[in-house]
Amino acid sequence: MRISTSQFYSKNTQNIINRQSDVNQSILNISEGKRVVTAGDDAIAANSILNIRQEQALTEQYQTNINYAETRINVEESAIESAENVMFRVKDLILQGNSIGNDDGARAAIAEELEARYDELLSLANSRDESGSYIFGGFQTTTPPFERQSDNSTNYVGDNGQRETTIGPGVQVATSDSGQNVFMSVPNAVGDFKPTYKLVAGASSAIDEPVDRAIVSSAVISDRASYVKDDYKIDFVANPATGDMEFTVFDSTPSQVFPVLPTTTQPYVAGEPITFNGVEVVITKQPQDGDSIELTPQDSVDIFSTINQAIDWMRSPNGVGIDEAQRQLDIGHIIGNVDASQIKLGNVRAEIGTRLQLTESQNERHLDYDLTLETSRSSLEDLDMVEAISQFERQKLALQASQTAFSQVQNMSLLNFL
Amino acid sequence: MGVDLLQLGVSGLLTSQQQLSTTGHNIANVNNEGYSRQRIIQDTTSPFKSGSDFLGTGSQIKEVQRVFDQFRYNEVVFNQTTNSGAQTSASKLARLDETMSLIGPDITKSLNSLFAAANSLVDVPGDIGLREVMLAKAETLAVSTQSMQRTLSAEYSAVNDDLETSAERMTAIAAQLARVNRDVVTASGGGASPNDLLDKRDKLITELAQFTKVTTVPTQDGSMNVYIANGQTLVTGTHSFAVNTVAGSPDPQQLQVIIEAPSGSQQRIDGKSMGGSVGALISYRDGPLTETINKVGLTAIAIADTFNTSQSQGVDLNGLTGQNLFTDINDVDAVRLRSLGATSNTGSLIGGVEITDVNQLTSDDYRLDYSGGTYTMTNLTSGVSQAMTLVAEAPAPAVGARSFEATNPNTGFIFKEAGGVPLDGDQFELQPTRLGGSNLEVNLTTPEQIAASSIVEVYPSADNVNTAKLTITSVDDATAGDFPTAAGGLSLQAYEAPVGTFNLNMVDSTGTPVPVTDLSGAPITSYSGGSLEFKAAGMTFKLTGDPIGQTSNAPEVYDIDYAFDSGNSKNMLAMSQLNDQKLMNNGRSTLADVFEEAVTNIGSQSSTANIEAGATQTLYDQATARMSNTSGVNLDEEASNLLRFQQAYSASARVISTANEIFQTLLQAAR
Repeated sequence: MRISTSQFYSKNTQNIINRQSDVNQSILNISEGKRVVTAGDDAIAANSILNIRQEQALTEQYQTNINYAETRINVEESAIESAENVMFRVKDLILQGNSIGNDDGARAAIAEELEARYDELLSLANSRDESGSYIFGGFQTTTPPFERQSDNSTNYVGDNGQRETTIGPGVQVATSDSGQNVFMSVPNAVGDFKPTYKLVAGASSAIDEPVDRAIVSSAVISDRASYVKDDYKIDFVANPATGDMEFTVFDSTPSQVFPVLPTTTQPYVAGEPITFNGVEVVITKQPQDGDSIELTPQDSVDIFSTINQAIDWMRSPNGVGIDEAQRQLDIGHIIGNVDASQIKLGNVRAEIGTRLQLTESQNERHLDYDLTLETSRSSLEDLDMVEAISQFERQKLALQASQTAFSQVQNMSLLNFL
Repeated sequence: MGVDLLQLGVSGLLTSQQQLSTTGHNIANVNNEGYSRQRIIQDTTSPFKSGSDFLGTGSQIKEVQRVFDQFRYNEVVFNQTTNSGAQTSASKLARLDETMSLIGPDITKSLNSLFAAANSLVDVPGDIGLREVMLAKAETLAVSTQSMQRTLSAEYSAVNDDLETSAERMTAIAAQLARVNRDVVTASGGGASPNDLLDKRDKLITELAQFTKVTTVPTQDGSMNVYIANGQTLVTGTHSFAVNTVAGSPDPQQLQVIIEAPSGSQQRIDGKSMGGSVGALISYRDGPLTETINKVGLTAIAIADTFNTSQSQGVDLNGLTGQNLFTDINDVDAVRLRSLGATSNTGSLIGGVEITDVNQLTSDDYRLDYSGGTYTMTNLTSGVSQAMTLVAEAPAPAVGARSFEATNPNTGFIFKEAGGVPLDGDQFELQPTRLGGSNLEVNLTTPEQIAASSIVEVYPSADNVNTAKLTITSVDDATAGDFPTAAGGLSLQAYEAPVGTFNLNMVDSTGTPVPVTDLSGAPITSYSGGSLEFKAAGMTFKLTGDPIGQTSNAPEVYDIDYAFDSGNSKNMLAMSQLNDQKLMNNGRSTLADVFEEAVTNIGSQSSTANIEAGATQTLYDQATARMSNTSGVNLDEEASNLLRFQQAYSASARVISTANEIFQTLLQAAR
């Protein structure tokens, strides 16, 4: 087959150029360390690589958010823990104060320490985090959420908001609790009503006055459908004939609600539930003739007013007879509310613990997921260095061979021999 | 004897001389591309009759033959066109692939950065420093997107420049061909073949074939008529036409190629059918390049719309409803520039495109035809047409102020008439996303304007016994009369009575009832279960689960309170979750997905183009090799020819000297 001179040269030159181009591409891949530099190198792999990179970016964001969340949650947890410790001390002090007896001076000292604990709790409730935000204010984070009033009670002026952060696809975790929830909504130890005891002194002398009087152990709304919200009063009278204790329940009008008219009184049995207007009351111990118990609706108490009540109790003088009975009933309920406060704080702490468990498990998931993604991406995108370098050597050799071949052949011409 | 030996020798000498010059001509033109080697065809001169014998009288040159195979030449021309087209496509796509793969990731990175800043605000929403960071990241995103748009626009202009240059060159070649035709006709008048002129003409045609498909028809008098593209005349005899570019219509940027006759009449050529590099440039420009620009625009529009909507659902640090983070996607200028009227329109209508649903919006362009009072819209990518439906408004708008939407399928925008009157036959091109990338700009000026806080929150009562949930789907009108304020909120009560019917009742903080309506505005007081969407006090709500409650005495209660405060980051929480949500492509793609899909699309087109370019290059190389092997000069062959003809020359010279000796001998004999 005939071949023209220009064809001869151009074909050989083209060979060398092609080999050069291959070598060049190999060098580019090796210096980038990637098999896929542009999408054109492998469009299908490029698609997966882009998706993987985006997933990795999202996962990284979740991990950053988990860091933010854990910081906030830990700050809150440490404040709650301190608050729990304060309440333990408060209970100790109350019990101590109750057992001192008549020593007004010692009780005054205890009252002072209780005041100091009150201040400590208030300052914990107004805790701030590292950015200066008040952590228990709900959404209101620039001003202190708890304000002390002139009468030493404390009002909550924040809101009910709860902050959240996204820590995984479709997974959110709360990063704050409102002060309303933590400190101002302690469930009433008795139930849904606040009992006020109006004791009447008996005929015997003050010293012989029975101290253990009737005590409300629980007063709850048992049937909301038939519940009538009102203040109720339970009057105890001794049956003139038998001497047994009987009682009647009135509402605020006052009109009798229990027992149902025309019966005027119901025999009192300690521990037997009394049901009226959707309310169920259980009273224990022994009431005296003329005693009455007032029930006002109250489903939650706040920690601060509980401590204030304890302080007032400490500062007021011990009494004898009817006064002592009254004081014992009062302190009993104050202690009940302190216990309820501790339980509430414990519950909040448990919930915080659950949140931390969630962030930890999400973090584990993200770490595993990231590893899987990275492995996939690497297998698609990264260059197998060994394979690439040996390919480069082969191409280099091919280039050298074509250059050598050409240089040896291009010299051959008949004109050299003429 | 009648044959002169001297004459014989001279004829041989002259013939060999000519053969040597032709060989020399070949050698001199060994590197002349497009040169076809020439050969002398020798023939004997007329014989001399002597008695009954014919005596030879020498040799003469019959013709100088051009070694040329028309079939192989045609193959070269054909392959030149396809290869040139494939190479142009491959190199353009490779460049675009590089741009998208190496610069493109800046956009997705900036977007992720913006979301990272949003997430840090979820943690501490009141921090001014973090807010400034978020604004800065938004600015970076806008700058990256605009920069990509500029790069692609520059590419578009570069393609147009290439088209103009190609048209100029084609016109010049056409003029040269006309001149060569004239010279060939004049030279062929003598009957001989003007070989070098023919080579020159073939070379011009091969060059022309790079740009477009070429077909040639030779005429009787030796000239060649040249037709390009789908049979448009470029050269007839000694007349040549000009190739030019004109602004397109309706889109003036879409340069069109025309052929201009010497008389001045113009004929448009369909760019895509031209083949060659010009056809490839036009296909590239109107195909992958436009598609990519549109996709970048689509991503930018989606980003702007998503963040703007999210801002409007929240309250900024100043207590004001959130303003647009990026400039409004439907601002007056943007709307106007999306609709282009054809220059041939007889009506005076100015149109606009308002984007209504980013989820349905695609990167396609559309053509709108007005006829008989209706607009018919054709998707320029798929070719599917549909009639537009008039959007009902009260009072009914006049012609020139109407709006039209597409419903089958929904295209995510409405066409608005913005003045003037359309007439039958008017045509418009709609480019909803073309300029999206250059329009992405940050609108907010101060960091306090980022709306991190939600406006209202739902707080279910602790006494609720069911797991029913009330959520706020959207805040439609924060200025509504009953809208919750810092002074007081609303309360929704729900209970089941009788069984199967759930009663609803909403009151404000004073106990005054607040009207509750369904989505169309009709008042409702109860529903039959399942999930319910309703409107009240300027908000849209959704109630799921069954709020059975405990009779009307103790219903399920949900408080709806004004929730703005510096520590509220609920709106930012919702905003930060948008990165992961499938907001586009009818709920199938996230914001980043659309852009990434554009990158891989170009990548795969580029690799396909590369493979095709490799194949066409091989075919072209083979065709040129075959032609060269027939017509090309081989130096070794010419060298041996030199020897051959030299010997013949020497031999003929010897014949002459022998004739001289014979004559001398004769003269000596006669003395």
